[in-house]
Amino acid sequence: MAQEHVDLISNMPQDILQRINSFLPLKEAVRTSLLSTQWRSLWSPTMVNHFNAGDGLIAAVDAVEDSLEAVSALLGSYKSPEIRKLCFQFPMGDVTVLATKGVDKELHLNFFHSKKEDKSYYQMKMAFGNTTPINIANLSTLRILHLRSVAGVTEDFASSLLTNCLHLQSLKIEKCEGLKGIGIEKNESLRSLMIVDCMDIENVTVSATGLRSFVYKGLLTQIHMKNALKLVDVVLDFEGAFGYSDFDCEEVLSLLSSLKEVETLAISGWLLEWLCSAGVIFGRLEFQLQKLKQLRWIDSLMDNAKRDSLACFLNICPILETLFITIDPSRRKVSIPYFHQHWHEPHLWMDFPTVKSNVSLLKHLMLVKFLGFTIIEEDGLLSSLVDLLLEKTIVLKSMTVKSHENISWGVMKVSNKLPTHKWWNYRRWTANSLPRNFCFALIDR
Amino acid sequence: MSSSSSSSLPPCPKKMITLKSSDGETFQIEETAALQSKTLENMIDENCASTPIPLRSINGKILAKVVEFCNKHAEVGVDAESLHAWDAEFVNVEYTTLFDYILAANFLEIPTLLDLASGVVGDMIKGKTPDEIRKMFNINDAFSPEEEEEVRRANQWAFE
Repeated sequence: MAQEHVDLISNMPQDILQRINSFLPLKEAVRTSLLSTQWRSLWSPTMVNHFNAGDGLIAAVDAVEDSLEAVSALLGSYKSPEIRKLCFQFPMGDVTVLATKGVDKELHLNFFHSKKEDKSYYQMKMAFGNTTPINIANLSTLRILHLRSVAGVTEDFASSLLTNCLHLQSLKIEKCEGLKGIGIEKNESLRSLMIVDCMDIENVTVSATGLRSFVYKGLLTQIHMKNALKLVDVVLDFEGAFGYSDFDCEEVLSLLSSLKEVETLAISGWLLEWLCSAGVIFGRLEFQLQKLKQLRWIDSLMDNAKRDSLACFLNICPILETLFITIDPSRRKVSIPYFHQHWHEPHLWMDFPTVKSNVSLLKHLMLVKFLGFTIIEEDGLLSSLVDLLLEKTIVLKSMTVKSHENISWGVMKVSNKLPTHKWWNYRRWTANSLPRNFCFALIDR
Repeated sequence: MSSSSSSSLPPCPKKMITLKSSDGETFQIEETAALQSKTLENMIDENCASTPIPLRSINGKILAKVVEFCNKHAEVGVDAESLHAWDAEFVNVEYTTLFDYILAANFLEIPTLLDLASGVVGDMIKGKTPDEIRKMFNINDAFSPEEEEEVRRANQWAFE
C-alpha cells in the first residue's frame, strides 16, 4: 500500500527513463523534462564545440560542411532521444544550434545567434535534381525536420541541409527572421509542410507531388502550390497582410484554385471578406473546391461583411459536410482596405435576404459548430447565420453553439405552435425572414 | 513423413535451468527459453548454470511472470497475431507491476520484454500534460515556478 505513494518511475535507472522517452514523439518526449529533476537531467545537452571556420569564402563553405557533418554524426544512431548543443563559428558570427533528436528519424534544430545582427534576407531552397547532394549518409535517412530561428548567417547551412534530406517527409519552418522565400521543387517525398510565424516571408513555391498536408500561419504572402495532386489538408491562417496595396486578388484566387483535391480547409475569415470587398463573387469563379468536406472559418470577430463573405464562399463548396465557425478575440483584427477595382462586381452591402437567396443549397452539410460566440438575445449575426444554414441545408444532423465560457447550446427547429416545454431552458428567436413555419431555439445542454 | 522421422528419434532431454528469486522461490526454465535473457545466456556459456541461479533483485511473483513470458516467446509455431494479443494481456497490469517487469527485464537483459513494458509506459504518458503524468505516477518533485520557467525556456518549441 505504501508503495502507491512512492515515486517509482523517477527512481528508475536513467537508461530506462530514456527508453520510455524513446516511445514518445519528440515534442512530448522533451516535455517530460518538466516532470522532475531526474527527467530533466535526461535532456541536459551534450556540448559539441569544435567548429572553427575562420574567415573567407572557403571557410564559409567549410563551416557549412562541418556543420552538416556534425548533424550527420548526431543522427548516426536513433536509439535514444537526446539534445546536443553544437556551436559553430561562421565567418559572419557565432551560432549555437540546439539539436534535439528523436528516435523516429526526427530532428529539431533551434538556432541561436550570438549577436543581434542587421537583418539579412535570404531564401531557403529545397530542390531535387538541380544540385548534387553532398554525400553525407545519415542526412538522407531523416524523415522529420523542424527548423527554428534560422537567420541570415545560417542560410547556407539550412539550405544545404534541406537539399541533402532526400527522404524528408515532414518539414516545419518556424520563426525564421529574414527568411524571404521558400522554394521546394521536384519533390516526391514530402508529405507535410508547415510554415509558421516567418514574418519576412514573401514567396512560397511548392511543387511536391506527394504533399498531403500544408499549414501556413503568418502574414498573407504569395503562395504557389504546384502539382498538389494529393494535397487534402490545408490551413491558411493569415494573421494579416503586409500592406493593403500588396493585396492581389488574382494570386489568392490562384492559390485557392490549386486546392482542388483538398478535403479539409481552415481559412481566415478576413481573407474571404477582402476577396468579396474586392468584388469577387465565388459562385462565378471557374473553379470549385470539389472535394472539400470540412471547412473551418476563423477570425477575431463576426460582422455583417464577414458573414456575407462566408455565405458567398459556401457556393464553391458543393459537397461540404462539416462547418466550423470560430471566433477567437485574441487574434489580430484585420480591417478592410478600400478597393478601387472590382473582380466581378461589388456586392458586400446587399441586404441579408438577398445574400441568403444567393446561397445555393448545401446538400451535404450535416454538422455545424459555432465556437466562441457570445449568446445574447440580440445577437443578430449568430441568429441570421443559423437561419441561413437551417434554410439551406437538407440533411443537417447537428448544429451547436459554444460560447467563450465553454457553455454549449444545441440549435433545434421548434414549431411556432409547439408549447414551451418547461424542462427546456431555451431562448427563442424569430427568424428575420418570415413567413416560416418554424423558428429555432438554443437548447441548454 | 517428418512426423514419423521425429517420433523415431529418442526424445531429447530438455535441458532445464533453475532460477531462485529474492524471496527464495525456485523456478525451472528450459534452457532454450532462458537464452532470451542475455544475462542468463552469459551464465550458461560460462557454465555457471548448473546450480540454481540466485536473482536477488527479482521477487517470486515477478520472476514467475518473467518465466511465463520467456516460455511463451520460446514456443514454436505461435503466429505473430496471437502472440501480440498474448503480450497485450500480459502487460495489462498495474503500473507498479509494469515497473517491476521493466526492472527485471533490464537486469536479465530481455529486450523483447523491456521494450514491451517500456512501450506501455510510454503509451500511458502520451497525450498527457506534465501535471497529469505527475499525478499518475506520484511524482512529487515539482519544480519551483522559476525552475519550471527555466525548463520551458530551454526548449520553448516543445511547450508551444
